[in-house]
Amino acid sequence: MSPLIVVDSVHLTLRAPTGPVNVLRGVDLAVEAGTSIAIVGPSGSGKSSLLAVIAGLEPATDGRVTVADVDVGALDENGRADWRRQNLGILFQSFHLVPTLTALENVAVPLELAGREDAEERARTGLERVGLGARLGHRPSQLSGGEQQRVALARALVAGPKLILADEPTGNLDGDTARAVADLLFALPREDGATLLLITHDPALAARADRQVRMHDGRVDHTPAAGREAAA
Amino acid sequence: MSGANRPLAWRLVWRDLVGSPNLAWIVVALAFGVATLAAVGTARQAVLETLERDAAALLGGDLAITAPSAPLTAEERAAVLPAGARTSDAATTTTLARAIDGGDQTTIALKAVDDAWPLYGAVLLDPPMPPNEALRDGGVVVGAGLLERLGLAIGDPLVIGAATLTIRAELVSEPDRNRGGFQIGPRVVVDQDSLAATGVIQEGSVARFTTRLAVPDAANRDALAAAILRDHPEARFRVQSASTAQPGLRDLVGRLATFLTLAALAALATGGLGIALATRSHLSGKLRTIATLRALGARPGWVTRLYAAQLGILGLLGISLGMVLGAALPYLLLLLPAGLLPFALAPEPSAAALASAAAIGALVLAVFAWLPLAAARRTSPADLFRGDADTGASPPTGRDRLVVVALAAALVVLVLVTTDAPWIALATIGAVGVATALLGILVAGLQRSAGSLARLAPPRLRLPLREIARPGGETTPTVMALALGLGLLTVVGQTGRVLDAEIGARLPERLFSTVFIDIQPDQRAPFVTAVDTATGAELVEIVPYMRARLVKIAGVTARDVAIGEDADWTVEGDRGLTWSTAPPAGERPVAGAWWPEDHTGPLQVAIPADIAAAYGVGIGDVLTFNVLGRMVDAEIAVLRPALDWGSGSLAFLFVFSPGFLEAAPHSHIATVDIAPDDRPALIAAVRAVGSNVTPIFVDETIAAFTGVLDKIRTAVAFVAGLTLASGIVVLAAGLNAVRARQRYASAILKALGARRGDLVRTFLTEHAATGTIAGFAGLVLGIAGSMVIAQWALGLPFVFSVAWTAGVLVLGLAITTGTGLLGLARVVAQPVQPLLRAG
Repeated sequence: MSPLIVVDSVHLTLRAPTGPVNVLRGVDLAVEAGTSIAIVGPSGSGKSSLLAVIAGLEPATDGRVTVADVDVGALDENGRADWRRQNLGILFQSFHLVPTLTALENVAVPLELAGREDAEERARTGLERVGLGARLGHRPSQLSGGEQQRVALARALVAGPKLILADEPTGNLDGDTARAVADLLFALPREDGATLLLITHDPALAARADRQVRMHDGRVDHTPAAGREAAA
Repeated sequence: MSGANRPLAWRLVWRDLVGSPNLAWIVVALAFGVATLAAVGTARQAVLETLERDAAALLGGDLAITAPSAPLTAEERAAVLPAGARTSDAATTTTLARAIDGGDQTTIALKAVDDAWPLYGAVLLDPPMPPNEALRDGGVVVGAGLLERLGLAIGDPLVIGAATLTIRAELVSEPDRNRGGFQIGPRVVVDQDSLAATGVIQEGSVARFTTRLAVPDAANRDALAAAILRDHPEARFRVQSASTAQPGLRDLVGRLATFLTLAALAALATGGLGIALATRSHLSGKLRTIATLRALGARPGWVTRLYAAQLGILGLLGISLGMVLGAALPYLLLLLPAGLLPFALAPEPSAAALASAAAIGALVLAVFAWLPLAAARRTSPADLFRGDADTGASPPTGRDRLVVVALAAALVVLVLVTTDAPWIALATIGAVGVATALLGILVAGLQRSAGSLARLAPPRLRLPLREIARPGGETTPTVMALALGLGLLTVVGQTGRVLDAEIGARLPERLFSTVFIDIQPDQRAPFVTAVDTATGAELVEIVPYMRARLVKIAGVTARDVAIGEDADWTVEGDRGLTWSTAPPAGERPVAGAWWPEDHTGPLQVAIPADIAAAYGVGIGDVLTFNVLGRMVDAEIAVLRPALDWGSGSLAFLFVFSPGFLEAAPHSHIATVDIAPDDRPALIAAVRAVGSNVTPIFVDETIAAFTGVLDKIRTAVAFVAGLTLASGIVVLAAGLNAVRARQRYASAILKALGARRGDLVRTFLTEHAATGTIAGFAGLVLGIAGSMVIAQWALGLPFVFSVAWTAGVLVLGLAITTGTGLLGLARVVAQPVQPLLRAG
């Protein structure tokens, strides 16, 4: 089976007022389809930036990212937007729901952007999957943090993406709520056959992934010790 | 927005519009500016169309031929009046009228008409009656104010000169009222028989005689006027065609419309800062949503179109509202009392005026909303992973700046092509542009100073001062908008002070002057005696006076000589002239020499050197005058200093050598210094000399002049008020952002132990400092502007007004702290925890 994600010598240099900052310094990574992978590492090690590059949100300064045989860096801005809509589901630490839309409308956004006529119906099903069938008409401000993240998860999954990217998805939630969201986060993509790439500081959450990778100073640490450390 | 995701787009647009009350300021700012522009355009169109439609009525005929001093002679009539034309003759002069009991008297603008009056249009009288009937058998109709001034009523006798006439009606409106330029005193109309009975017009009197014509082929009137002028280039009379007879009024309407258009534009530009502020504050609150939508696969163009559509809807709303208001406002002109305007106005919505106002409004929206929209477009979804999606502080790209410059240029071009006075408009736009740029630099400097001051200030003041210095906040546009309004207000006040000081400095020496006109040669000696014997009266000067027209300059017909705009007026009609044996006391010639006192040679003339330069003539050249139909050559012997109209002395353009003109019918004109209380005795003494001798009270003339000045001041104050109102709209537009920031700051400060009182003091200090900076910047701008206006436009020394300076500072403070107080109690009373949890 060929990998779904291939990250090949990716560099990312960002401009800052104090001069260029080398955020990623030659990252290599391959992720098999249908698996889950947790990326761990200290703050500032480049985890979120790697996620942004894989999602086509930030173009790599050098190197290549291929997702499902598509060279993400070769697409133009509109091409990347279309590709994201068709292939990715993203989950943020701060949920990032559209505050003026209801839970149902928020979940329907990716489908509506794709012009799907059945957007509302599928969004309703998506919310029922995450246990929020009774909160369809609520605005984000009327939902708890855990509920907001479940809406965001339903939104990430609703279009049937091949890849789910999750950036500290339980970072803003308390223990029990975090566990409930994590259960859904691992179960639902598996049901759909989607690949999950997860960034977390939480060792317990990382341990639930099929594989863990440690990042340090803009590089993936491929040493066996790092693998053991990450899995520990 | 295309594709099947339209419902999502509209849902987002609609929810944002409904949920963001701050966006209403975009509608308000646009509606305000567009309404003013559309109203000015519609009113201008209505006036110009009326002028076109009622041209003949406004002139009182298809053609008007006006002669000074004496009516057209039989030969002149035979030579110029076309066959088949109906004619109406009128004479106008300034004289006195009084009640029969010898009480108060007043200066009047007397007009004597014949039975044919009016040839066009209608005379409205109160009580209504035909004018012939009112004027028959010693009847008189009087203009507004006369009855009240003399305490008279309809049916009462009115004494004019040697005649006692009967007031039959009040004059509500006369079709040819606008003729004759500046008018002293109310209009009084009599017929020719009554005029003869009054005896006020004698040989050499200061009077005008107008023959109006209704020609069979009215469409051809311009050609007819041109033909008369061509055939009689050196005639003493002036010919006007109805089609071109109101250039003054037309120009006035055009200039007034330009002035008000620029005022509306200044308000719209100031409002534009509010649009930019509201747009920026709205979009910066949406950056997370924009980034989220982008992360979910929305194309950048789609997101930009989404928010552009939002602004478009608001723009459409504001512009439509402005157009409706603008089309309706001119109908208020119909509420003006009948007779106030010299014609009946029929305002109709003008498609051209509405369209140009709408286009200007749309361009203003585009100019001011482009950069915030472009910043939103540049929002990267990757920022969501870094948690800084809501900063949106990336500087505009060169391309975006270029687009804004192009849009602004299009706006300027649109304004220039739709205005009557493009050069004035261009100069004003340039001046406002420079002023705004200078203001920007000044405000930035003041903000930086506030930042530096924060380091030295007591701890309690540090936070508000740092808030003001914060770049990219709402302070800069708010202060700029407010400072523009306060700056204009300063210009109004300081320039007014300059004018007041000038009038004050000039008035005392001649304040009590009275000018007597129409003193016949044989009345000169008795008049001088009457003045000498009157208590408190001092004869300042008495000089011979007649009117004539300059027809040739160095042998070339005056009309064909290229004369600069500044001196054009000197050849346009007849002018008053005098003769003298000696130069005015203390005056030195610029060139040439005054004739000896016993000069008996050929006629010589002294003219101001600047006028001679405009004519392109000098010493020894000959000017030819038409004096009562006779051509008179005079050699230029003296070039005098430029005329000083403000000196209080009689200023004559042409002063002749003696010995020749004395033979022609003429009168004398005298100035007498006398206190108002002593006037009645003098007037009574002069009346005994002859009822034709007419006093003109200088203080009344000055009152009329300062009345005009006050109207101009009110108009300029209106402009400043409009801009200040826009500034307040901008302030209000920024208030939402201020409140959001203050709510957050208040939560943090309370958590750190601040009391409510501390917070109120902190926030009020911030508002007060904003007002002080705006007031100070406005003052600097306004005083600099006033100095430029005083020095260059008025040629007067600048006078500083402490009262206005203090007033503007207090107003700036009052506006910002006043608006700052609104809702402040709610801000500081808010519980801390929910805010910090949401933060």
